Amino acid sequence: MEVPQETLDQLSTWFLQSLSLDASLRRAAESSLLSAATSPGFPLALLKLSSLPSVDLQIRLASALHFKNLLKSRWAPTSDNPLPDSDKTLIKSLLLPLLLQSPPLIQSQLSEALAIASSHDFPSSWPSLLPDIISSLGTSLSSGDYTSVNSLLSAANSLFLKFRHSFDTQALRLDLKYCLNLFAKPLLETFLNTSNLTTPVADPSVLKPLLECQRLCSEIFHSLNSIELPEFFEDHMREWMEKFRFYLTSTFAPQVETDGTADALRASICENLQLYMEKNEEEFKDYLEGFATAVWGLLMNAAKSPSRDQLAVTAIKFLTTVSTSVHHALFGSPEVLGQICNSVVFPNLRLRDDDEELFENNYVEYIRRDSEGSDTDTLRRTACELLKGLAVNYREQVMGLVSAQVQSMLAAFNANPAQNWKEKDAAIYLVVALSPKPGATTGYLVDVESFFTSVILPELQGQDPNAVPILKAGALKFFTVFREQIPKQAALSLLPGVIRFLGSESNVVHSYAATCIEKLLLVKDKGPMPGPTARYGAADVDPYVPQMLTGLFNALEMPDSQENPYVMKCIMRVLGVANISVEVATGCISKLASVLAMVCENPKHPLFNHYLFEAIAAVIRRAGERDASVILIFEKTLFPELEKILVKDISEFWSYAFQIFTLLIDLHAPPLSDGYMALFQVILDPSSWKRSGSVPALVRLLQAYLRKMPNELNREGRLGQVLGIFSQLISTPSTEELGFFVLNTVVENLSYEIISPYISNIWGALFSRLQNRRVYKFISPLLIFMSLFLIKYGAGVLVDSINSIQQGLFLMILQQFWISFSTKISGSVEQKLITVATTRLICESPLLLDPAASENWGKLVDSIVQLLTNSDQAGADFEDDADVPESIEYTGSFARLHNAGKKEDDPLKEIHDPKQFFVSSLSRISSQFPGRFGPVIQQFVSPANQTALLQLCGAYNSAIV
Amino acid sequence: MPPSPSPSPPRPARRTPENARKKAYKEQTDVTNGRRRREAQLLQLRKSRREDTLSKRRRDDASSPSTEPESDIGPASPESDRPSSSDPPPLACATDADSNKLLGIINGLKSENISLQLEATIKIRKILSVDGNSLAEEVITADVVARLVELLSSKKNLRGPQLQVEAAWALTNITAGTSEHTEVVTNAGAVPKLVKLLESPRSNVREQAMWALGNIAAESQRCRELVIDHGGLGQLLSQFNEHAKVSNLRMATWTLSNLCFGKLPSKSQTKAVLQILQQLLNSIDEKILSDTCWAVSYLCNHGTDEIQMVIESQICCRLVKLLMHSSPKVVTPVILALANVSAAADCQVQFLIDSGILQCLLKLLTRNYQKCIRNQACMTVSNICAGTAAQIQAIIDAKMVPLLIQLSQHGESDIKKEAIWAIANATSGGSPDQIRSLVGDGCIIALCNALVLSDADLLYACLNGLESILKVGEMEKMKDEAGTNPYAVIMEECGGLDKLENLQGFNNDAIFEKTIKLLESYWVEEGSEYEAPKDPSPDDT
Repeated sequence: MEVPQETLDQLSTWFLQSLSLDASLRRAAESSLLSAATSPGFPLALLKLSSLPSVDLQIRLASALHFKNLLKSRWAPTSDNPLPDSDKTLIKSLLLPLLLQSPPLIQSQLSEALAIASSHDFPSSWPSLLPDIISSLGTSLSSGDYTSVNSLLSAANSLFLKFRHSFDTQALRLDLKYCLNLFAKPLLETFLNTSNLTTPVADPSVLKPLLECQRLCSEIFHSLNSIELPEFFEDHMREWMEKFRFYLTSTFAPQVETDGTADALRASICENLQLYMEKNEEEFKDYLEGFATAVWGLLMNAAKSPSRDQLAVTAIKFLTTVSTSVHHALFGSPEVLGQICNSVVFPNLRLRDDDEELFENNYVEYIRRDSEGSDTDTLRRTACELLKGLAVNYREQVMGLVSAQVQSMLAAFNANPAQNWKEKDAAIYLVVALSPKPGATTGYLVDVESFFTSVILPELQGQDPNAVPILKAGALKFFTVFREQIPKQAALSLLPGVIRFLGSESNVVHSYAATCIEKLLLVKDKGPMPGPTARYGAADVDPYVPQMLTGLFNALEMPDSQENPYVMKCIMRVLGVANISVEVATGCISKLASVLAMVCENPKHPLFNHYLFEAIAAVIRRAGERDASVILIFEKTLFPELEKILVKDISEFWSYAFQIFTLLIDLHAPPLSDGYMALFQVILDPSSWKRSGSVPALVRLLQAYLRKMPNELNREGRLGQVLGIFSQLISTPSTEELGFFVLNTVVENLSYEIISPYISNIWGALFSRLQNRRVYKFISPLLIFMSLFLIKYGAGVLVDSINSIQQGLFLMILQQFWISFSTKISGSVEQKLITVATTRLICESPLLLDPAASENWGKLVDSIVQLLTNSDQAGADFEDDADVPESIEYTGSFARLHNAGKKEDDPLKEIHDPKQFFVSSLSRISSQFPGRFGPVIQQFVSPANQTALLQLCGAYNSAIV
Repeated sequence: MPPSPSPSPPRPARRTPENARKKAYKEQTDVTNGRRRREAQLLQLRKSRREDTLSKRRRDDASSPSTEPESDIGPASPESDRPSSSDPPPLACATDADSNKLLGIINGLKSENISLQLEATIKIRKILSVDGNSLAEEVITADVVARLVELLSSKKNLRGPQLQVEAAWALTNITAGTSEHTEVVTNAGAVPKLVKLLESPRSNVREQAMWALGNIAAESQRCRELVIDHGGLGQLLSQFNEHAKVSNLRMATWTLSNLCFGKLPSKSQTKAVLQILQQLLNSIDEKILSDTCWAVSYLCNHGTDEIQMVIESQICCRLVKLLMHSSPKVVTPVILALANVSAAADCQVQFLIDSGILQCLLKLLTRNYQKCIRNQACMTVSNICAGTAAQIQAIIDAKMVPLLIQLSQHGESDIKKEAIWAIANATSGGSPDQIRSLVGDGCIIALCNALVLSDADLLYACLNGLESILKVGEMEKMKDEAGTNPYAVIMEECGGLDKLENLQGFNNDAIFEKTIKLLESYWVEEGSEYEAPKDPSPDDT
């Protein structure tokens, strides 16, 4: 590899500058590097520079890093600017030897680079790689150079990882076969030879790289065995297993035991045992008992270190697998069960020091682990899983052991609460972990009710919110988990206690108190009404609301809780449920506005911000619906902040701001103030619609204006602007549905006289789009729009205005789309619209009442009956989500505010039952032309639908004569 | 979301036995292509199991063809009979005395005197009949073998047939050895002569010739083609006539089954073989029956064309009945054959169901059969579960589901997996009503428990199954007064949701995306409809 010295010098300078503290120097160097990136040979120059011993290490590292990133973005042939093959060939021939010569820091970058390149090229386009690794491995082993051995093994390890998680295909197996043929034997030899050197008495400094080597061998073993048990490994199973067992049962020098080297190897071995249990149970069964004993012995060994914890997790998972396998009898005797529970499970339930530290220093992480399921790899959780596994086959025995354990932990706590509070915490954890959620059939392993009364209640009733915070948190979590089972009155009587904990200085405790209240308000019962009813209504919570809000807003002022999402979520929930007075509402709005002012400075917590806007929307909606005059006060408080969002262009908040404006307009008594009119001009400006994330919110805002002041539209050419927005929206699939929302709102709110000058443009836009987009997703809202148009302006206007584009166009649309697609419309309002519109079409339109049109007439009847039958069968749209991805494109940046949402309006409130409307209309028209429609129906309505039609007529006492 | 019209739901593909794995996930990524089914088997990395390979048989001194050695499973004789490359035969150095003895024998063989020829041939045959004889390796030279092959055509006098038998016997035992030994025999032109011997009026000559050909056919596809190219198949089929002795029929069936191990060159040959096999399936002789079933199972391994011909030959009904045969030597090949048929098209699978296979499978799975039989039975069930809604209904009606659930929890690990495949297939392709019934039997828990496995294909199938279940759960939600998706609730309660969340860390893009899709579609915040950023709350995530 020849790289001119001046190139290397130039690169060195740039890298040095790129590390400079001077930002302008740094930026200049970065842009020079960027522009040099495309010059031929650039990656090779980077590689060369990073491997020159004479160059400063910092520069070498920067160069290696740059090299790795370059490979990451440009190695794939499908990438934007793929590296030329000539460069790749050179890199492939140089990378491995250079990697082996490099110091550790550089080596780890080059290893990653190797992994990136090999993920595309290995093995077929890089046939020399594995043979090179193997031959270097042999050399390094015979010279005892374990630094190189380990570098080579980790390179090999990265090549084989893909066998663990990929789908099983012929191509993958061919690759694996190739790797097995070459590597299975050298791997075993490396492992066995090295194992001869790893004696318990070996010197720790010698031992460390050796055990690391064995760990890498064990990792590679896992990858190579992931698809199925390869012949070579079956033939040599005994050799592998004996050594595995040796490492699980031997103790090495204290230094490698405490620094985790030995445990890392053991954890990797346990994962292999787990794999063999899953894949090769039969071939493995002779070794199982030995390993179960070895692993269990390992767990009994009380050494406490972070590395031992990680090992314990994998070891316990292995035992859990054994406990649920056909070999569960290994654990079946009462003695063994007792020993496993008492020496493996129960000791691991106790809170550890680092958990305690987390509780105090990082409440977000603590909560995630403690109650949001991200603790699957913690010892506590894993130990409980083992308990559940044992209970699959030995339920009675396990129940007995658990309940004795709970009793003894509580007794220890009661004997000395100050010192033994962790015992009680462990007991609470155990009960929560083992309790199935409400409704589960498996039943409880402990008696929850008595536990609640005797253990949880005293904590919740404690007066000092700061006493033993971890126990308070545990009790609050228990209350939250079992909220459905705790009777309403009991729960309400506990509320003051929970509210008191909002004032706890512990972030976890006041977060849990907030969550507890928030979840409680969501509890639902099956009531007499259709649909679930909230168990706790406004009347239940109103008495507590002032203290709750005070407590919650105070919590937001505590250190680290200024943007506490749990607290804000609870505020949102309370405001959504409670009936609050005007005073409380205005107070809340001003507090929320100042929180908004704060987050506008630096929006960083999306979830908190979302709840904040929900809370604002909740106050506006609930207070405004009762007393519209309060809206003026809200406007005054909120307008400055909302305007700031638009003016300062805080893009994250745009769609929220529009939704709040929409809500304010909806609740505002006309006329709208000047501020709103100015905003109206802003949203009519096409440039406002460029940001796709806020388009849905803009559409809703536009709809609010159209509803509130339809006549304003007719001025200053605004309607033309609105229709311009409409045609822009329908031109892309992701927004076309929104375009129809705009159009529907126009039709719903304006008379035909106002629209008529534009109508040929509207149809023109729709039908030319239809030519390129004959898909359900476009046709469906088009039919809905046409139905709405017909209902609003009459069948004649619909037919004539469409035919004025082109003679006979309406019938064409009818035959090609209306008849075949109307049966597939979903949504009850939509189905009602199309039913009523179609009914009016066949009963009112001279075009269809013409005997010459009887085929179309009959087919329309057929499709209405079909649609009405479909709508009776819930889930007619099962099996069907083909078009979904397109429609959720925008939700990535648009978060709809539930509290600002508007109930779907039914434009046909006067018609309650579309079936009745259809049948009676049909019966009426048939009586005008007796004997005419019977034959048409017989000819063009399917037999099944004829039967359905007869049943409908019967149900509504009507007849077609 | 408004639905758009689309055909029936994507269905999982079926699998063929042995190591074949379905590619169910591909249908999701490539919906237009519809179902896929494996035709070519995946490359095998495992050690070959007995049922995957053919073994050869040595005829020892004591046995006559009519008392040929028993085999444990199928036509394969126990592996210990057969020296393999990893286990070379014990080979002591021949002593001088031995060498002299051998020289005498070879001279006798080369003589023109038939008595001497016979005597020498018998001696050679005896050397070769004893396992591990130190002289065996020295006997097997190109010269000796070529001479033995010549002697196959000896017709000179009354002792000709005896000489033929002895020479064929010696060759039988040579071909029972290593691949190299067999190659020496085929290179010496033995095949056409052995085929010619099948026309011999003497049944013992024919029988020994078949034995040698059977061993040769067991060697490799090339060897099988050699036998077929020299007309061996036709000659062999003509051995099946009403005058044949039972011992001859047994040998002919065994040799035929070996020939069927590879794909036959033409369809007409397969048809002719099937005609014979169809008759043999009614045999009451267990050995004949077992080898016949092996032949059928080999044919079914070759591809859909062969499976179609098997079905057209109308033997499936008989095969299904044979599942209940008392000997595992019959049941093993039969279940392998039927597992292959169950990987075929829907109409072919329907034929099996109509023949009453489900009741038989139910018995195989509940009684104390060998694991390999139960495993294949369970795979057959899982293939049927990948079928039409009517076929899934048949599974439900046969009360198969509770058994599958039970196996998925308490079976051996292989059978656990097959049972989970079955449940995943049935739930992926079932109609809403069927899914409700499957859920009622406990399928959700079974699928959730499987989410900790490491097999990417199976995981994906489980996720598909759960997705179908959750979709039906959404319909229930509309009916249910509590307004919750009851199936999502069951998933949470059984710990499935936690396991699903853990799958986000499984390093496979398709599985990651499917997992995210499920989490985002079914576990948004309760009580509100917005699509907020992923929402933490103490117990619903």
